[in-house]
Amino acid sequence: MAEELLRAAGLRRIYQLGGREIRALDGVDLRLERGEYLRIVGPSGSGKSTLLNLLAGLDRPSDGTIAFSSAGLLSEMSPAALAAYRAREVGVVFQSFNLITHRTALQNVELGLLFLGVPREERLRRARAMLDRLALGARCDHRPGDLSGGEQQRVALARALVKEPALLLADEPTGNLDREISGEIAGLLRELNRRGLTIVLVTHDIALARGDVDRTVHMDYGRIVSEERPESHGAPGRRT
Amino acid sequence: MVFREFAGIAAGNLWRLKLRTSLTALGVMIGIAALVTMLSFAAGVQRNVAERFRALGLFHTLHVMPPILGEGADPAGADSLRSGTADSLQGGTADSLRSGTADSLRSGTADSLQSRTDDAPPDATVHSPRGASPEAVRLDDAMLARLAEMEGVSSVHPQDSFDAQLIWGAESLTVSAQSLPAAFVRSRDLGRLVAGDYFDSDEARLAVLRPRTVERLGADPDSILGQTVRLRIASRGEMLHLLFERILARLELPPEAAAAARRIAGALLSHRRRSEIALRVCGVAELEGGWGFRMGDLLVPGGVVAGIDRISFRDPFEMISQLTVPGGGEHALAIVTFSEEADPTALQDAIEALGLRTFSFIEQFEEMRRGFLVFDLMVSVIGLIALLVASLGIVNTMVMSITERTREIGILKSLGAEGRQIRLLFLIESGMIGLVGSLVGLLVGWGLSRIGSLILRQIMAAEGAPRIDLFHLHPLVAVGAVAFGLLLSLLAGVHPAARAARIDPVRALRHE
Ligand SMILES: Nc1ncnc2c1ncn2[C@@H]1O[C@H](COP(=O)(O)OP(=O)(O)OP(=O)(O)O)[C@@H](O)[C@H]1O
Ligand SMILES: [Mg+2]
Repeated sequence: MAEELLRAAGLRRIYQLGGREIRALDGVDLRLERGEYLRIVGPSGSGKSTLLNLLAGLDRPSDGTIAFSSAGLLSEMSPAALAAYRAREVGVVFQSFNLITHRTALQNVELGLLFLGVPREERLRRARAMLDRLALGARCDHRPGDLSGGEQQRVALARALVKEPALLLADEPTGNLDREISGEIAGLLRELNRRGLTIVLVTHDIALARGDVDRTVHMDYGRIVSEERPESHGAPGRRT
Repeated sequence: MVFREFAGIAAGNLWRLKLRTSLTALGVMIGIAALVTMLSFAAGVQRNVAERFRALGLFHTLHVMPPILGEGADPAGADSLRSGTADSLQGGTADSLRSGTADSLRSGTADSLQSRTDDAPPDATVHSPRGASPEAVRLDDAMLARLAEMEGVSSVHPQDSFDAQLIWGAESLTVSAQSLPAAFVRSRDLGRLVAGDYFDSDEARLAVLRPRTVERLGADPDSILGQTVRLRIASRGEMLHLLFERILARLELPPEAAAAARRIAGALLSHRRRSEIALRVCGVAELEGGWGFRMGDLLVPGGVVAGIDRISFRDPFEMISQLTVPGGGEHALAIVTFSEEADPTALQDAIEALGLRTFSFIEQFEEMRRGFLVFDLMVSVIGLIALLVASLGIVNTMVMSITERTREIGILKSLGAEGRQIRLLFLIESGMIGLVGSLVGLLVGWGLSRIGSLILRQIMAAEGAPRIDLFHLHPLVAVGAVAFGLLLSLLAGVHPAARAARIDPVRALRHE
């Protein structure tokens, strides 16, 4: 039996926009197992990012609950506890890499440990090690502006991973990259998943990582409309 | 721990935007520098005044003077007399001294000069003939003895100023001379000695000159030391005689009449001859007066001029008052010092009850202190306005910075920052602007006060005034100014920081 990492039930996220109600999420139930590689696809505006932000603890649902294995119910957390959840449990990468432009690659990655209270020396050591792992050891002192898109996204990945989170959330991580580099990033994610990292990948691109994931969820109109599991893959819990 | 990390991040952010940071801090700097400079000046002047007061023992000193001409127990009489004198001064003396008309002299000065009655009815007082006056309150040796016996009084020293001609060789100067008891001179810091020493005896025929006086004689302090100078003292008789001669000349009397008048006047004023004394210069000192204590060009022991008819005045009113005071035995001023335990106010009241006038330096000092307080307040208000404007600059800079760094704030939140940590970060930034601005402002303010002090010293030295430091930066003022600048900048950061803390990370992180 696979260990459950996260369970979302009845998630709703309703925006009020000029008196109109926008149901970005309209009742989503989702279960995620530890070590699973989940892909969420769907048309633009279907609520993929909204769901991811809720899972990341960056936003709170209008209704429904998210339970995280070790942290409990996100919806019942204080702002401080939710911040600690973001700091400790999840790493996030976005389509726009969201690096701080005036900080070097190393300084950006090191920020991933700041809110865990890790001392500076250790932060720098671990950040450097993580950049090395992502083949960016030589670019430590470069600023984002001096890096290619793929390199920037790898720095963003390093920042998300440096704290060794239980869950990696990636929202269109290859949206700004060309095909070849997208493949590179997808390969990196596959590699990370093989080593045991739980990943939720949101993408437009039906082809991206199709063969790598354990499960693909299709969303539309704020709901999960279908789910597929490639034949070649067994239960994800089989690996670590 | 987080605080230290944040301080580093904040400093980095401020350093990255050096121009903006320094311009914002400049506002704070100017405010603090202005505040520090002006408060230093106020404190410096105040401290010098207090020090001078202390050095001269003025906190335990009362100046006692004889009553003003005609002023006595009867206030009505005194009033009318005063107005009578003033009238005659305006309508009479001043004019008569200028034009010399007999009429105006007779209608004004002559009459009022003779009137020293205290208890006569108003009308009679002004015009009462001489000789009708009852016992007047006099500041003579008997009165000094009486004062010395009062409870709480520790010493009584007469002090006289008079005008004289100082003669040395072929040089001759008009000087304002002063006699003080040796004991008093020794007990006070009357001024730095340039050469020689003060005197120790009241009877010795010695004199202490100011360097400026020495210079005016064409000598230098070392060469004049031990030399003998002569002091020709203007007397009341001489003064009246001169006055009389001027009037006589204007009257155009027949020669015989004039000669007769001159004979009569000569007989009347014969006992009032000019006097001349020889003095040995024993010291040259920067005699420092001030604060109601005018120091002359020359200082002599108290006993030297005792009994010599002399006169000193700064205005016609004073001259008239002096002319009518019977010569000898009476002092223009007595310096009364009292013990630490004595109640100055009670003592002052007791002395005034004797009919004498008093001048209290404590009152004077308090009045000055009030003046300084008003000055301090005004300075603070000006500084405050400058700092308020600077605070608005900080608010503006912080709001701008937060708008620019919305995405960064979103990133920090996604990495686990809490709202209050974001708030702290921006408060540290605005606080740093204030702190740096205040520290530099303090430095600049201190520098300005040093420069100001140097310039003022130069000016004062050129004027022959003592070289004192008119700026004083109290450590508490320095600390207070920096703390205040920091506090204001923190307050200025509160609103922008709260805005930063509220930024929605989802919105902030959404791609452009
Ligand atoms: N802050 C907001 N206020 C109002 N409506 C919003 C807000 N954020 C998202 N929405 C709306 O919610 C819906 C879902 O948006 P979401 O960003 O989750 O879609 P998505 O599936 O990620 O789309 P895309 O593939 O284009 O990124 C959209 O209709 C969007 O316009
Ligand atoms: Mg999206």
